[in-house]
Amino acid sequence: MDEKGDVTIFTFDPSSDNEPKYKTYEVEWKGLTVLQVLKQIYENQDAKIAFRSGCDGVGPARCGACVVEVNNSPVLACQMPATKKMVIKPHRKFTIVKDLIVDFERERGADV
Amino acid sequence: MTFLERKTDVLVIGGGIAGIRAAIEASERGADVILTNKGAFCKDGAAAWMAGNGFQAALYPPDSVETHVMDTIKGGWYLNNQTLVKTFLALGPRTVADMNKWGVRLAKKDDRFYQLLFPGHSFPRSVSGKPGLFLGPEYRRILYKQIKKRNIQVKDDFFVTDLLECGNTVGGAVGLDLRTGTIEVFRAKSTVLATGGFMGCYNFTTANPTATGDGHAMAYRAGAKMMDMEFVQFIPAAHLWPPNARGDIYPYLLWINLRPHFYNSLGERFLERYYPEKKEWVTREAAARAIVSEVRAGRGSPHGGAYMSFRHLPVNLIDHFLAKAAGVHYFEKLRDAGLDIRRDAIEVAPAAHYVQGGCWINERCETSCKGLYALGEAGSGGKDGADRLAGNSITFCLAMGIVGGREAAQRAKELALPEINRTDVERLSRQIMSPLEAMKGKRPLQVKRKIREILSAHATLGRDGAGLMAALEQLKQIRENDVTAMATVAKHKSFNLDWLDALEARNMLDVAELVCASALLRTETRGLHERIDFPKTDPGWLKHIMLNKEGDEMKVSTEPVDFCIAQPAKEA
Repeated sequence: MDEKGDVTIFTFDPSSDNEPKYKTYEVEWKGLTVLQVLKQIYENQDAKIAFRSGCDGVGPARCGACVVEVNNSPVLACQMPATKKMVIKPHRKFTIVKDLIVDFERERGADV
Repeated sequence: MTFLERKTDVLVIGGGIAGIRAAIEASERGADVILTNKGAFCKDGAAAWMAGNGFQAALYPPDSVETHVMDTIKGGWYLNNQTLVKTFLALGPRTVADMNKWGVRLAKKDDRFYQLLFPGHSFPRSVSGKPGLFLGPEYRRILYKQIKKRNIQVKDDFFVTDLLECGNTVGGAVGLDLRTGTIEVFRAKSTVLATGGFMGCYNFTTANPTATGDGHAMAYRAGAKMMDMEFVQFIPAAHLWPPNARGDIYPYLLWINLRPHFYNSLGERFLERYYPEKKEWVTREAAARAIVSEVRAGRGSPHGGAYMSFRHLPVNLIDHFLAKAAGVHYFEKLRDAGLDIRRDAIEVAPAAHYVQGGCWINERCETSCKGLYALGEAGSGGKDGADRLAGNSITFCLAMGIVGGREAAQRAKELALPEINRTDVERLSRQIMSPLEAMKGKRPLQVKRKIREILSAHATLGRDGAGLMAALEQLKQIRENDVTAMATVAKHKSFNLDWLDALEARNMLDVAELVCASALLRTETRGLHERIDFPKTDPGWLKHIMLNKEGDEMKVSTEPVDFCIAQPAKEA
């Protein structure tokens, strides 16, 4: 059995939550991308989690939909190899729509 | 029930390259335009954003639009709608001029656009990016600016579920604002479908899995005539495993450049068994078919493909190739996965890449429903025929954007806003809400998975009647037992991916039935449609399979090809 990893994810629904919560999940991570780990959580552990995905990293170019912050660095989740311990947050520059999903058209204020 | 309702001249559904081009054209002609997009505008999985190479246009003699048209018809096995091919490809030079004017950095040499020769084309006619520049990100950056400049309203994260029609006239659409979970109505004089393909209905695709044929399905449900749904293009080999590069098409380039060997799970070089003389030198399409056969026979690689190996090559030869390919992202991913092609095989399989089938359209991009236009993959019209020439699809998307945008704006000038049927809106909104409100039922994700399994088992390469009949029966079971009984696990309204899955599952089911029904009916092998039980090309099948919905029934018919430009040779 592969050793499992811990992923901590920023969750926040501005329509119902007063403040963000961090949730931690035990996941398979070896050989996977961060996006594949997020999909695994959505499929098997927490149907409520929200994140963006687009091209899934196929083809020579990148669409940019899945940008998040892993351990405080902005990355494309479809490109980033998962590691054993990760904290995943929405990109700091943009307004949060839900969890890891941001509105690319609106820059974030100082609220969250 | 009341719904937030907006009115516009032209509603464009889908923010890929065709939809954007149509929005620009309609706006330039004075129409009010709203463009809705299932994801974040220009940061989503629209196929064009992932393009590396350029697109085809006949620019300089001795090349001509006529030759481009002929190449396309030959490449399409004479099944193309020749009038459409000519109408759209004649706009090829204009599509290049527009993109150049807007700032896409195309390669030039001696004041001429530099063009590359692609397979199936008589002349080098693929405009390309400056060296090392992928054009996909260029399109995304430039077209985004063009939309913003024109003050076209863009509605991000909006999932259109259904078209609104009243007496065979489409008057807009209804859908779900994914951000808020509220249902909204867009009333429009002209509605333009530019929703892309349905490659996401297959397990394995080089496209984004969000291409679930939404436009195909909503047009079909609204009564539009669909056609050529049996033709789906597969890349013969894409990366299957290790998972971090899943769907990458780079193995296909490795195949072209390095002549790999293929092994099944028994360690057998199985192509020798299928093609004793040509072995690995057989066409890539034929090799892909053998991969599928091996998987079906239970001899596939662990993840459902074949092993592509380079071990037979000298290490320094591989190293020379790798040195030339320095900086290619794919090799970084292999390295991350601990894989070295000098030593290790990679698992590959054919992957869904593009769809030829979609709405019937005429040379004004009008569908069979008044007020509804369809472009790109959603608007087939039979422009691609039975196969597609490399690099034609972006040309078609841009040209159809010009035509569809122009026609949609023209209609909006001439006509009043069509009525919509309020009872219909209420019925459709109940359908949208049903999986969220249902307390017990199938998880949408499972239903999607089932549909993908069925299409992937029976409607890829090497189809046969028995398999397609079994697929239709299984899809019928899903229609009767699963799709109406879906319930999301997550019950919140804002960005509920579970809910989105449910809406996509319904579209995928419609599309899957259209594909299997058409593939079953076409009892021949032509282009991308291969029937194991009917391996020959039959001149009697130089006709299109048309499908439309009447009541709850799928009506199937055929329409002959009009050879107004070129007659097929006798053997075609």
